[in-house]
Amino acid sequence: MRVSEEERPITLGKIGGPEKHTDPTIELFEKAVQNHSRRLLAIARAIVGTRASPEDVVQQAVTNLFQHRARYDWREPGGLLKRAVVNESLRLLRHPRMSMVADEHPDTTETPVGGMIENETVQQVRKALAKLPEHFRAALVLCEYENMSYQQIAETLNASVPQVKTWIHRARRQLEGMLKDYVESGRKEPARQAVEKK
Amino acid sequence: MPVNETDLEQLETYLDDELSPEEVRELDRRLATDSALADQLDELRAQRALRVSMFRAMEPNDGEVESLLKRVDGNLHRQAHWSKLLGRLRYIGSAAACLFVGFMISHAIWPTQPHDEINTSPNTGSHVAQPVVSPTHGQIYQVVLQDENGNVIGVQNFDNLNDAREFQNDVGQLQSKHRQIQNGIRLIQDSF
Repeated sequence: MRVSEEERPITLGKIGGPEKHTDPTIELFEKAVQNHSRRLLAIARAIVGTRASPEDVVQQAVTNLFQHRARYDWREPGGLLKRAVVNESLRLLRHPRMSMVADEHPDTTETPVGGMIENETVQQVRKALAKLPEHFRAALVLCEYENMSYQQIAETLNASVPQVKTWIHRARRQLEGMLKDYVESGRKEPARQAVEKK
Repeated sequence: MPVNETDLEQLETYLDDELSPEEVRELDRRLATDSALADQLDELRAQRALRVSMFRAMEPNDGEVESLLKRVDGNLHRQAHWSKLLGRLRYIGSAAACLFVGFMISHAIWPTQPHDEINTSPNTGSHVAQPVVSPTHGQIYQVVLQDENGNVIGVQNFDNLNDAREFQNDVGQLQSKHRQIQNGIRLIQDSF
């Protein structure tokens, strides 16, 4: 991971009751889920879009990991949790009985860059992203949002590094192609307004 | 100089921080002299910033995270509960299996013992006797042992009547006890 994550932890109740856990992995597991839940939900949302519930994806991924928690090392759980969520997202997208869910996250919130990016632009990018093949989308999310290296992405998606590189490159080119008209119309608009003012 | 597909890929790899130090030096040198390449890099940076802002806009707020954690918590509680319950059931199942195996082994080792006892019912006629005292010639008293069908199965001679009656009483008591034991076994078998 190239960039350290700063997560705002939210308390998770003690699994199995308020008493102290005899299994130390449960405590580590709880901490891991608390610390990474925000990013996990964002990753799931970016990959599944409106084609499945991101909450369901995270819940299922976490439950699967909990069932086999003894197998894993919970001291460095970030990669493990992300891999589980990405794989669960991809599995759900391939599911034949997948159903559409309502967009519970309309872009009404403020973006980190303030008012510079309009909600409409973000909406357009989201729509274009949703049209990409699922592997392209997953690779792009892990690369640009999670700042994972090609090697880490390859491990997460069970692919080779050249394959990942190709997926990311194609994803960017396809997004560029889909957003070309929108971006150009956005560029022309200020110019047109300037001419009208004159 | 126009930017080709290879250049584009290299610029993207550069932005992804995946070029080797040598490749980075070479590209920096080219960027300093090639304005088209530098413009393309700026364009790619802008596109990337737009995508990153879109990804960040997808981040859930505190309420959504809390809601998710509640769901996960509830689900994991259920998992833990069922896991505990299944663990207990496994113990009970194991104990039951051990008992069953023990029973089967004992049955295999002593399979005929209960049947032997059943076979000693009085109706088989093997050792049921009805002693009858009768004086014979020469003051000899005989106790005749008969089965339920009246067949003579044994004769015991005595010199005097008292001894013969005493033997008769003893045999009668013995038969009585034998019947009680057999009836007891039947009762036990019936209760199972």
